Amino acid sequence: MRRFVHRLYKRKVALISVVALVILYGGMLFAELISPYEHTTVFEDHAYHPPNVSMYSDELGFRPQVQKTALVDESNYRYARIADSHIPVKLFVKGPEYKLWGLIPMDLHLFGTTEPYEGTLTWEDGGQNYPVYLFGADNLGRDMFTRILYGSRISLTIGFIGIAISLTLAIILGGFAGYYGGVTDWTIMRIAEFFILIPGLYMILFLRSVLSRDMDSGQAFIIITIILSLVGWPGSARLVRGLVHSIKREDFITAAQLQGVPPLVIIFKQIVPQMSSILIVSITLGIPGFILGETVLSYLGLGIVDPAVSWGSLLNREVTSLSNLTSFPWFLYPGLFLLVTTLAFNFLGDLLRDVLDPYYREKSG
Amino acid sequence: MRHLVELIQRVGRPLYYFKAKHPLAHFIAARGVSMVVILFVLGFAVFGLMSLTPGDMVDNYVRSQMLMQSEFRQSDNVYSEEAIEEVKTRLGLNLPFYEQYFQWLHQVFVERDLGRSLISRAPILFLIRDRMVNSLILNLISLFFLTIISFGLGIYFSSKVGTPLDIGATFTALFLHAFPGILLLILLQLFAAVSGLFPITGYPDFPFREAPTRFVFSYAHHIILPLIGAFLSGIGGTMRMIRATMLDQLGRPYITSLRSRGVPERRVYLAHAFRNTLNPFITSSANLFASLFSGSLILEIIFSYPGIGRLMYEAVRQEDINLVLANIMFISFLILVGMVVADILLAMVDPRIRYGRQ
Repeated sequence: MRRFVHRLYKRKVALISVVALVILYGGMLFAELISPYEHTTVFEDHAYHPPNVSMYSDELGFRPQVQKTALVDESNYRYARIADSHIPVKLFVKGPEYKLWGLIPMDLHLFGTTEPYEGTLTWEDGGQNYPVYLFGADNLGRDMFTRILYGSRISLTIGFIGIAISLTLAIILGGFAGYYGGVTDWTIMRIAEFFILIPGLYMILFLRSVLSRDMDSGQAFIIITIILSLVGWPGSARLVRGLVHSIKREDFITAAQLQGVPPLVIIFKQIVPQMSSILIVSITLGIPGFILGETVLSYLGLGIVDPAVSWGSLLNREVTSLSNLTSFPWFLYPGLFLLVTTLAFNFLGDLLRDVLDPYYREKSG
Repeated sequence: MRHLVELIQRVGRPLYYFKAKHPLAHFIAARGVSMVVILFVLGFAVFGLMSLTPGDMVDNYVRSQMLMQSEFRQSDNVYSEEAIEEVKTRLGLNLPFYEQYFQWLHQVFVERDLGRSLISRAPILFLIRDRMVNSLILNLISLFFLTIISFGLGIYFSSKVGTPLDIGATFTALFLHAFPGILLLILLQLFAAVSGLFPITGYPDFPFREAPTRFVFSYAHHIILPLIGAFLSGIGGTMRMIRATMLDQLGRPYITSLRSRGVPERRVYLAHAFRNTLNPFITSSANLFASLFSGSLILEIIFSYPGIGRLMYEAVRQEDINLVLANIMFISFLILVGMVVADILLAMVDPRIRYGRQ
């Protein structure tokens, strides 16, 4: 652990990655509090609205603020700024009501405006406040920043859940294969090879097409995770099998066997802890794969769909069409978050591998 | 029991002789057999899944069949349960899935007919053949460039190990390896659209027959960006691997002995260390080939390249059951062939594989 922290300070990229991940996961945990709205909050007259937060104007001086706009070109969604109509952005304002973590009812949001959107009603009176678009608005006038934060709940957790399922499968099957050898080994490894040989994405597409199209978001999330882990487990199973195979010959395993400890207990209590460091590495390096798998499916419109939101569904093909991207480049912000996450996991995994994996270090000289 | 073992040994004895006499031929035959078995099991699983899951696909299929047959056709497209059951029985959809599977196999191999697409009504063989050629061309070109350039760079940087240049290259490789492929492709297409230097689609808009020469140039122009995309997302991983194996080999005693005998450094790199890096590369290039297919799914969809991946995607979107079936079997077949070829190449390059564990 101490060596890890030391190396972390020496390698600035990994340090930045850790910080980025902490920020991202913090944002995910407090999504409702940090985001100014809910992911379904629609501002009808502000579809495709560009980011509107600025730090300076003659009217208000230096402070975060929002300038009011009016829709001038309805077919191309061009907005004109209205002179002298700046609204200050304030911290901890009242917004739409929500339950933090599904438990604590609140209506405080980290930032927002206090002026009403249309008419005279603010959030407290049942109306809406003028929108703050940190990252612009999507095709229905929903705040992109809010949607990215809410979307991270799926995008950032699917990696962990997926890797948990696939690693459990890999440890059980790979462990059995390595420990028992012989026929068990042969059978399990043939099954694993079978799964490796099938082209992953095509299998996912096929499975997704066989399963019914109209599912609610929870079902879709579970199905996607299971499909992705089914495609992902054989690689780790091979790794686990090889490790178990070599650890099996150690003296302490023989000692345990002679004492009559049942095989399952030996695998989980004696062998698995021995390879925990390598498993940690493969977890870290495996997570981005799951995140990208979900993104690809949702991009193709076969994954998470409205009203649920994930980074993949924000990048959905129909929304991020070429014409949309050229005129509304802020639609790529979810991609930026995706990029930061995958890069961070990879850099961190690379460092972990250097620190934890003795075999790899020898190899890279 | 003992008799049985003896019998098996006696029957298998020619096989053992064969293996001892022609290890390579035996190896190739064994890989071929395992490929056929895997394909068979895959088809079995696909049909099983299709009948086990409560999908809309089979229903859609039945409905589309009913539309075609005049005796069942209803103007309002509403059918009675009995009529649907009747058609299902007639199409053999009420049979257990393994019987359906054998029917399908019979249809494919004996009657040489893959059926017709439900949507476009075109024969599936015709659809797949065109698309498959396109996909193969694209993937082979990109595999070719990827191999050459990553070998060149990997060997070059392994000779510069420890210098700032090498550190920079390693970092770049990791960065490219970690970069989400889908985002890269979207950005490349956006670049094409904004700059206007490249076409935003991956395929010329006129057929080959119309103007062959012009087609070739236009094709080259169209696939530059898709190729760059495939190249950038592949190079990180392969270059890292080649560099790591080169370093691994360079640390071995035989390299020291070569150097001590005064063998030129160039020869040490290119004739000795390099030859040994081929081995892991071929193993992984089979996976690379497979991943190129998977990767080119997204690529084909984004750049609207008429390849087999896009065909599959469209079939899934339109719930075209015949096409999906034929497609997944064909793609698996292609990838398996790629893997078997890689295995055989590996066995030719490295005799240890052939004689030892398979």
